Amino acid sequence: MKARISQSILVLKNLTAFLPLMLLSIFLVSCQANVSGVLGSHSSDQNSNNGDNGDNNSGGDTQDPNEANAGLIGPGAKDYRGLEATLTAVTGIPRTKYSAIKDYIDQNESSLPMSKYLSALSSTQILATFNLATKYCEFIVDRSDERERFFKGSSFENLPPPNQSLSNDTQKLKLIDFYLGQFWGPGVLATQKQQAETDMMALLNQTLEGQDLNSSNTTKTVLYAACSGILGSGGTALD
Amino acid sequence: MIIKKKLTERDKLEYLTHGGRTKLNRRDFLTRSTAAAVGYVMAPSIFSLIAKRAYGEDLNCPNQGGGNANNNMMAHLEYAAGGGFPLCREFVCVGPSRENGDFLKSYEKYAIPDDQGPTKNGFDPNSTIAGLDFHNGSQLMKAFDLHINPGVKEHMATMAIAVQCSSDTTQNQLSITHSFAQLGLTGSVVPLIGNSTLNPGGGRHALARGTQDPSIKSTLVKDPDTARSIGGYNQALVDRLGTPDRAQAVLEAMKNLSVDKINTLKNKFTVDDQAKVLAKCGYMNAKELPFRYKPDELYNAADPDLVAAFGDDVGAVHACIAELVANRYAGVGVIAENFYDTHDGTALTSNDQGLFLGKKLAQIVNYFDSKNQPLHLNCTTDGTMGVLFKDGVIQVEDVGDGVLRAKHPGDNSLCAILTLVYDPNRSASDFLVKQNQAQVGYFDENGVVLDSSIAANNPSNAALASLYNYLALNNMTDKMSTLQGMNGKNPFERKEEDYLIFKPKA
Repeated sequence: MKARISQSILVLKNLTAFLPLMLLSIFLVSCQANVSGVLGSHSSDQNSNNGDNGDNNSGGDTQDPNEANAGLIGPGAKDYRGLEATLTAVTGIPRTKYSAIKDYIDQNESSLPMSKYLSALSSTQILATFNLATKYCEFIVDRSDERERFFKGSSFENLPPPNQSLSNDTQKLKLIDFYLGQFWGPGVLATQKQQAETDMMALLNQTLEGQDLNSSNTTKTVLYAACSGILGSGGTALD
Repeated sequence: MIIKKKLTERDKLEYLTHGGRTKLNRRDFLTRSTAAAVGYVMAPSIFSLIAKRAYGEDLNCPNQGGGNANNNMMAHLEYAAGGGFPLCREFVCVGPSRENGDFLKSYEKYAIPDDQGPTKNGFDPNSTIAGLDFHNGSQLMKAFDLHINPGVKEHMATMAIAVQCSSDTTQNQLSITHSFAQLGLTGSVVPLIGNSTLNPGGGRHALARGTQDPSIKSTLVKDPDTARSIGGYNQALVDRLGTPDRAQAVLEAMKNLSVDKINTLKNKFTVDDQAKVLAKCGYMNAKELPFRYKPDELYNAADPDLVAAFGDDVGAVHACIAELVANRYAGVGVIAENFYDTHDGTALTSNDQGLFLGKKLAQIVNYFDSKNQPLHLNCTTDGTMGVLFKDGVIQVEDVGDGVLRAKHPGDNSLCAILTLVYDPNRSASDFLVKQNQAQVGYFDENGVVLDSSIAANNPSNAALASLYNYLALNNMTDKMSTLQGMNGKNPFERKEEDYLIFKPKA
């Protein structure tokens, strides 16, 4: 009996000795899983099986020179599968839902990016990406059911005319930030967001110039232009 | 707390070769396995990287979508049949001397009954193009002669490469379309166009061994609409915003936002500064490209030169592709015909295809003539058509005007690359090294003699031999060994006399 008790004490002592190590292991495993699951600047990666670039927005990841040199030029763009998955994720419109989108992809598959190498990204591929984004924007803006779903909770759900919804910088920023939040997600860097706001403000002003500010159609045009500019940009197409 | 995921060697390899780890479905896996089997990897070629680095270094951002349209080089087109068009029934295949007149004992395996073959009857010297002789009754040549403009043939020559092919079109490595961008023939808008997406080369055939450059993408052109849109002009965007200026402003915003993103790019592998510069150039060009080349400029079916050359075929795919290449918007073009396979057991269908091809070729050359542009055009097919014999007797049909041709029951492996060249600044006799010789490798009465050249039993080498002749025409044979896939060697150099049919311009 005595021997049995001392054996149990020994086991407990060993367990106690290994406990911190076990806890540390569990913690590290959970962190590792968390890192693998972190999304980039938008939620596409989980849909595109493309989650390797999940720590894009960590803002401070240090580079191991050996890893950096593993590829002559690292990936930085999305291939067409990643791109489609991203557009679907951020707009909520599956590629197969509307024939105009599906047809565009089918007909322009050879023009969309095939590799993830930034250096292999050509201007024709960029244009094909941009033009695909405009297709998604058409449905977000034109179809009332998609518009209501997408803009739910914003002031643009019911297409108020510009003199009510886009008459000052605060209102315009609301639209820009709404799009940035939807398309680029919360991980966008503050400096990048600020620059994007400036660029988009210029676009909104130019699009509104000379237009009927009492017309909802003008709002539609602005929504479409802003959507195309942001959704078609590198914020969506690059990792 | 920042936790850095340690990458395994496999991760690194995956990034290096495929740009990231992705789950593969069966089709992807098969595609990649096939790709690996033919000897290319998905990483950008060193050549293309060097070329693009040079673009980045001068920071002028030349048109990355196309680049510098090298107007000094001949344009290149590939007319690729999707099945077994009997090319070898049209021109006179010759024997070991490779000289015209070295007729085979019989052309029955080539679908021509001995009574009508050249051995007994010769051929009409007027119905030919410098280089190759064509059979009496060749429908291809008949149609070509009917449609070619007067005087154009005087600036043309032909050659052929004997090659045994598989009857599986997509596996035959007969395409060389990716090599031209490396030589500077990139087009001002896109480097490569084609009406088929079956292969990365833009057509139905696979690319010659090792020549695939992943940075070259074929842009689909299948009709006037797609021809007009290769510059990326988005008519819907312009219509919705009211003016091109506003559409341009959207693209400007898109570019600015992208450049901001590039400046902050960070991922597991450092994206080097050159890549960032190149991507910025890509976005800058993307902003300008659609407005630099508007649809009407790229393809206008009412253009008098187009109408004159193509007539009712002005909207056909060969017209669209020829127009974009002749005007240097695209570097190289591939016309893939889907219906050459004439498995109906007749001679007539193949005959009609010969008429069809002859007419299209003449239209294309006429258009290049109207633009004063030199042209190098390869006709390829995946084997010709078998011939029907009964009890050893060839089974023929009258295809018109008393011309007899064999019935074709199905594919065979007798094949050739038939090349036509046109240069308004050269006369027919200026093209050929030897006036009486226009054939690489040779034939006998049973088909291609497999040891007659390194191309005879190797479609990839046949395509490269054609490329070598293209380089000769352009005074650039020294570039052969530098091209991707050549590993610093020119396999034809040691026996130039066997492989060089065309010669440089004096």
